[in-house]
Amino acid sequence: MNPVLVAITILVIYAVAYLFHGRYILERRVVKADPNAVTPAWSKFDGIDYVPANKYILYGHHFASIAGAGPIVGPAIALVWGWGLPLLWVLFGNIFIGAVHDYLALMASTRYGGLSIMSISENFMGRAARYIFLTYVWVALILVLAAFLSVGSSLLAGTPEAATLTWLYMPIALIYGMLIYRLGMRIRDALIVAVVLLVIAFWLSFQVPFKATYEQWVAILALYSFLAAALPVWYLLQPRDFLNALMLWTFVGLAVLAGLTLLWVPVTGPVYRDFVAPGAVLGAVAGTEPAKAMIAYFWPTVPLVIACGALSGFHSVVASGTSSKQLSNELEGLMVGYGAMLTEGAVSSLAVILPAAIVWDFAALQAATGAPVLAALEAVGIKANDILGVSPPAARFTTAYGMVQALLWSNLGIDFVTVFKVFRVFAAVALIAFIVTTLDTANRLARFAWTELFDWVKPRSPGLHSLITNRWVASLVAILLGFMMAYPKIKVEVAGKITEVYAYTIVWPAFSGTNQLLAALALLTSALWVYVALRVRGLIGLVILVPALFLWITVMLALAIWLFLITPGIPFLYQITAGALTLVSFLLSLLLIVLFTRGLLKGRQAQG
Amino acid sequence: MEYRKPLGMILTGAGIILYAVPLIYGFFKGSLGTDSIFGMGFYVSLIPMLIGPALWFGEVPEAIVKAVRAKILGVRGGST
Repeated sequence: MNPVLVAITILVIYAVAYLFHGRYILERRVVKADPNAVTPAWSKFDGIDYVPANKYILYGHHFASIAGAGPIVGPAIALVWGWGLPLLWVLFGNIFIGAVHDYLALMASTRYGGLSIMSISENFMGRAARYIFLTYVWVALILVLAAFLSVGSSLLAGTPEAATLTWLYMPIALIYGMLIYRLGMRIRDALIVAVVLLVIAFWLSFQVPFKATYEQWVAILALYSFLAAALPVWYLLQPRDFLNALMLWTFVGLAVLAGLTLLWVPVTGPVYRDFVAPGAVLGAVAGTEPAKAMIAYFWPTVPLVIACGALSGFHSVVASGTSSKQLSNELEGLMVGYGAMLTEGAVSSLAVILPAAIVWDFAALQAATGAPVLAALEAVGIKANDILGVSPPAARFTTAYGMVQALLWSNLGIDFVTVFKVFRVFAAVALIAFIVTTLDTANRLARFAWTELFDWVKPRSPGLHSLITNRWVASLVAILLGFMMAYPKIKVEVAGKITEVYAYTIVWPAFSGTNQLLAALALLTSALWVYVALRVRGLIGLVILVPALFLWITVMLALAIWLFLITPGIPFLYQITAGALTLVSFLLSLLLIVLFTRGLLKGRQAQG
Repeated sequence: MEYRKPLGMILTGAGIILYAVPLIYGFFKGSLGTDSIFGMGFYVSLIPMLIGPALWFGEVPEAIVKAVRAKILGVRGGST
């Protein structure tokens, strides 16, 4: 199969989806976006969180925030099923579930004064639902903070060039923001300045690689996340995320360019390998029986493996958290909510899955292209016959991406191995950029959830409420807990052997289920909003209702696999942490469908 | 809050120095690490760099406030 054909098909599908499914159905027929409506960014302007943003800046923020490590690591793991099935899921899930979920969460929040989707659920599912789901989300965000602190620190400690660039990136973003907001420079002119500085920074990062330990990175990233989450959005978050988005666009654009021009290169990977994979793919603890058992069926477990690239509950928290408070005009919501989600799908499909499909069999690739593929791999210390032999999954991505770029650029006479090395670092920088952006956005979102969680205190004790919800206090609580889970190592016994792991890792295996239950909650709440408040019925209404119920069933079954097939076979410490969290998710999932059905019936009765 | 502006200026200046000096040192040495004083300087540089300008320039730029005021009053049909 030719990769060019695959790339063109993907691009056409996304273009049709945006114009027909997004603009024609969701924006015009469902939400009926009103260009004259005053959004919360204007009506509740506070200069800190509620600040109207330029649509490109907000798109950049939203895209960079929703794209954590998920769109890269998830599809890289999912390659165990071959490359065809993960690609199909990314396209299907991305368009019909993920983009609907993100866009509706953004627009519902915009119509409800910037409230989170969890708080909006109160209108359709009752007050208890609001506080239960807010607590659940707050806990999930702390897990995200711990995991991203840890993963980000490992990457920074292991890639000194990327560490220098990441550190230089922040002041450049500050300068960019100052040029626009303080000096009134036009976005385009300020961008030229920022891009020149970024090119210098990229060059400097190779001249001055910066080395620090894992523990040092965890500490400084936690401090950074605390400060960044409390500072005004216009100051760092908006300009930094916009620049990030540009870098990520370059990263995706180069992947598309390779996909469209590598006419002479074949796809060396299998479209289909198997429908079922070992439990380790689903997060079962390595070395245990469930990790080896063939229980990870492509469906229903795929949403738990490929999260952000197709759909993720975290996105609804971003959309109804930071993004809805900055949306300047309802008509810009489609580009931000729907468009950013499609872009993230493009990261998974075009920058991760397609390059992996091309370079899959290293010897076959060398034979077909004549490029020194094996020498390049040897130069970076990779000893594997195919892409699945490269570990960890993030390295599969950097290897495949770097290799495809090397195939493309070596045609211009540049040394293949050198290009491969440079683009491997570039891919690692892109991954770190995703992670660091998500890190401070997640802390800001935890602050929002915390603030909404304690709104009942305000009428009883305004002084206590203002202390609890103070933005510095609220930012500190979440990041401190995240830090405490990412910094220390604890000893656990797995298959008779004592090993040391970071504290958060004993809960983390359950996160994928938590995250996707959150997606089901957001989509079901949005479906109720559309049905009850917007009164959209008939076939158009089914465009939201059917994906919402499909998602709920899928997540429910995947949670059941985790609960009944994985949890009994993992060590006790994991059972009382990850297992317990999965049980809570499973029970909440049942509660969710009861509340949803009740809300739907109430809505129908209210219509008479 | 008279102290904010000078404190912000000092922190911004400190941040710039903590960025620039270690980078120059690292450029000639070929790398930079937290095992040296210069590396530690680079390591902590982001913190004063984040806080300094925020204190120095204040939190909400007048340009944004003006835009919000114009939009809200314009939409609601009011006038200044």
